[in-house]
Amino acid sequence: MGFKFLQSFLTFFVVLPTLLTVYSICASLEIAGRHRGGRGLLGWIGALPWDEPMVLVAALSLVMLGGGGFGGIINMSYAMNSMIHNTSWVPAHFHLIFGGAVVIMYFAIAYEMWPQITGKLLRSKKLARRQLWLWFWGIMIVTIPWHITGLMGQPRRVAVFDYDDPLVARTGPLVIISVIGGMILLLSAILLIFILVRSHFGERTGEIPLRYALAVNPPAHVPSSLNGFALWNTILLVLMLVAYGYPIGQFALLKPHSVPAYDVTSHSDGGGAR
Amino acid sequence: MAETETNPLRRPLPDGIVPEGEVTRTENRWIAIVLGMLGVMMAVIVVTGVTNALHPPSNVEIIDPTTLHLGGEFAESNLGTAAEPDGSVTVRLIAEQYNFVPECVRVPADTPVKFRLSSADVIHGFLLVGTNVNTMVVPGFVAEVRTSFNALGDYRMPCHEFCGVGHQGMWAHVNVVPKGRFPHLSTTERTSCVQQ
Amino acid sequence: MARDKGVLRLTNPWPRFAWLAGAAIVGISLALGFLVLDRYQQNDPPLGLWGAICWGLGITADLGPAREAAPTLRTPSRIAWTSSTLGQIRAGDAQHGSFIALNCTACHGEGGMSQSTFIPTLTGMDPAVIFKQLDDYRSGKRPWGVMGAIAKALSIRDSADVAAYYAARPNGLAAIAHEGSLRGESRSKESDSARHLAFMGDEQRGIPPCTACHGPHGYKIGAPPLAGQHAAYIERQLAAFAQRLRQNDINEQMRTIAMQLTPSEMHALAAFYGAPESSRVANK
Ligand code: HEC
Ligand code: HEC
Ligand SMILES: [Cu+2]
Repeated sequence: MGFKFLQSFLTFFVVLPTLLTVYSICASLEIAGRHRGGRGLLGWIGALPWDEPMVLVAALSLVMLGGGGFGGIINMSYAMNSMIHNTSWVPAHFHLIFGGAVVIMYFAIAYEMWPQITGKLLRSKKLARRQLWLWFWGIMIVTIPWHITGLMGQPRRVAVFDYDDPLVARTGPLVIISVIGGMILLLSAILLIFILVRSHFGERTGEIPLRYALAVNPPAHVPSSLNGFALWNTILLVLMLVAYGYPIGQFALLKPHSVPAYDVTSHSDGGGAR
Repeated sequence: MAETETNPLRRPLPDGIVPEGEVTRTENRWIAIVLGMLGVMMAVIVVTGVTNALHPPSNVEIIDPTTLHLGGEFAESNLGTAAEPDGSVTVRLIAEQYNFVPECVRVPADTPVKFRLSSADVIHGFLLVGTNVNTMVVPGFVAEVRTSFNALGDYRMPCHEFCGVGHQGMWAHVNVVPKGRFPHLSTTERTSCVQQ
Repeated sequence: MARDKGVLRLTNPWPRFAWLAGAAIVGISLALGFLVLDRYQQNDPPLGLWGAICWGLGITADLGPAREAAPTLRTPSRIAWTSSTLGQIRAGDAQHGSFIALNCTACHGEGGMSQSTFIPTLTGMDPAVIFKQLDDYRSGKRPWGVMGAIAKALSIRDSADVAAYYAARPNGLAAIAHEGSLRGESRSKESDSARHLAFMGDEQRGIPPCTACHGPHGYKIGAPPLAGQHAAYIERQLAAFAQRLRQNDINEQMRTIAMQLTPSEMHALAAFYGAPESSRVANK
């Protein structure tokens, strides 16, 4: 279908805002690093306050976003998708992107906001950093083998695999590694709750003022079309109509066929079984 | 605005760290890099799409799923591998809960192969591990994918779309044999590797 | 903050740029999609421009060689599970069916509970199964001398009625109980090949679990409940499917499975399902 290329192309443009976000996060970190005395091409990295969970998470999150993002580009590429469509590559991809890059950010936000909301300070930032590292490695150990099994053709949405089968056996060890990663994630999640609960019932209290990020060079003028949703939602609507209008509308043009519904959970008619 | 100026947390930045012009320049450079990346990747997709004739599965052809067995292309006597006059082969399959029929397909190596599938009940998936064959099989439609196999041997053919409680048992095989060992079929003969 | 007027107006440079960029992207990709990429078909010469556009729009369908010279048609059954067939079955009148069933009692037993291991029990069987099997006997798709003659004497209405009658009889066939209720027995699940096939299937050979179609995990229309059926009958049917003596299953549902089973597995499955003590789901 010719429209699939359009859909693929439009999907591709998700790269643009993603990379702009990457830019502004890196740039903010660099400015902060230089402000704290970092010098040279990479010196600012060392000057960042790495003991802050938020800074650590920004870096870990970027690493995971990078991996997941490139996987995502493969998912959207017009024809390459058929290598990995509905294989375990796909869950690997979205666990890496969402479960990794996004959720780890939620954790850091929790460490940041919880004390501000409740006035109870974190008992141990070190433990918090440990938890975040555990989550990072957990996600990596879950998703990297998962991606590989996907490339080896392991379908997703299958409950049981018979690893005795020589044609499936190769994926067995990789799946076991994934399971270990899952255990690490569980450990990390328990640790998160433990840290928050312990801090909540802990001694350390304090007032932390809310801080907001401020622009280094405050904008003098923002065109209102870039500062609201009206224009973008209209464009979005038109693009959706162009990209999906015909393919979906086509169902109305084609002769419909249906498979009559039959109760699959029990014999429906008469006094049959159950 | 005035409030932020007095915010104690906002320490003024020393001069020279981020001059406004520098920021604009790096921003523009980054945009150029990003657009360049987009362009290169898109070019790769288009060029490989054209040179390898790769497409996402795109066939729009409708068929009544409940009456496949009553006649027409997917009647059971027409399933399996058929030889075409031009030397290629066409493989016709039905995907149904919880089997592919025939459940073992034999095709010759290094030969253009066209798979045509339809579903008798719900959405199934059709994946040939290690090839470009990967499509959904939607009831009411005929899925068509083309490929050719250069490696001999057995391929696993799992259903990758959850189709019900027996889904995990829905695996079939494709058996690729050397061209010379593929039976010579007349136009009305069909073959498969289901043991009779 | 200065507000520029007309967020959507094209005289405003930003909206103009956004719309132009959007239009360019759409234009370029539609042109590439429909005029370039669509032309190239694996294993076939490139399509012409119109052919490519039509294919892209899903207007032409099969591009491949014509499909004349099809082999002689063989169909498994005349029945298809269309809504009109289901309607006929649903219209079955058990009251009238009870009179027709008088003709069957000699062989299929009182109320359908067959006393002979050779003749299947019909009590509690799904009406769709009875209806379909009767039609297959009638049309000769399932060859079995006596039943063919009997079915020919029944009208379509009669089959639906007698199907409704037998389906409504209590304490007959059932789906095998859920695996959970078998736990009490010694844990020999892995070694017990019949139970394993029934509940797990065998993925390596492409055998789905029997319970996915015959219940209780799922029901496939036309698949009869098996628990309580005579073991000898089940085994004979499995062998008949495997040897293609019985070919009336739509789209080779049972033949595909039975062909994968070894004779000893068939025997074990028949014993498992047919065993009188195999725990049944209580009929209500
Ligand atoms: C002469 C004995 C005889 C009589 C009378 C008879 N049947 Fe049968 N019936 C059989 C036998 C034997 C089979 C098993 C045939 C086979 O193996 O294919 C059978 C099979 C069936 C089946 C298929 C069951 C299944 O599990 O697939 C149905 C349905 C059926 N009979 C319905 C009827 C009905 C309804 C009547 C009365 C109108 C009837 N039969 C009268 C002997 C008889
Ligand atoms: C894909 C779903 C499906 C699965 C899985 C399945 N069956 Fe069946 N089976 C059917 C259908 C449908 C029929 C009825 C065929 C017909 O229309 O004649 C049937 C018929 C039968 C019959 C004949 C019953 C009779 O009364 O005539 C037997 C015996 C049987 N199946 C045993 C099994 C066993 C044992 C297994 C597990 C190894 C199994 N089936 C798995 C769908 C299934
Ligand atoms: Cu399936």
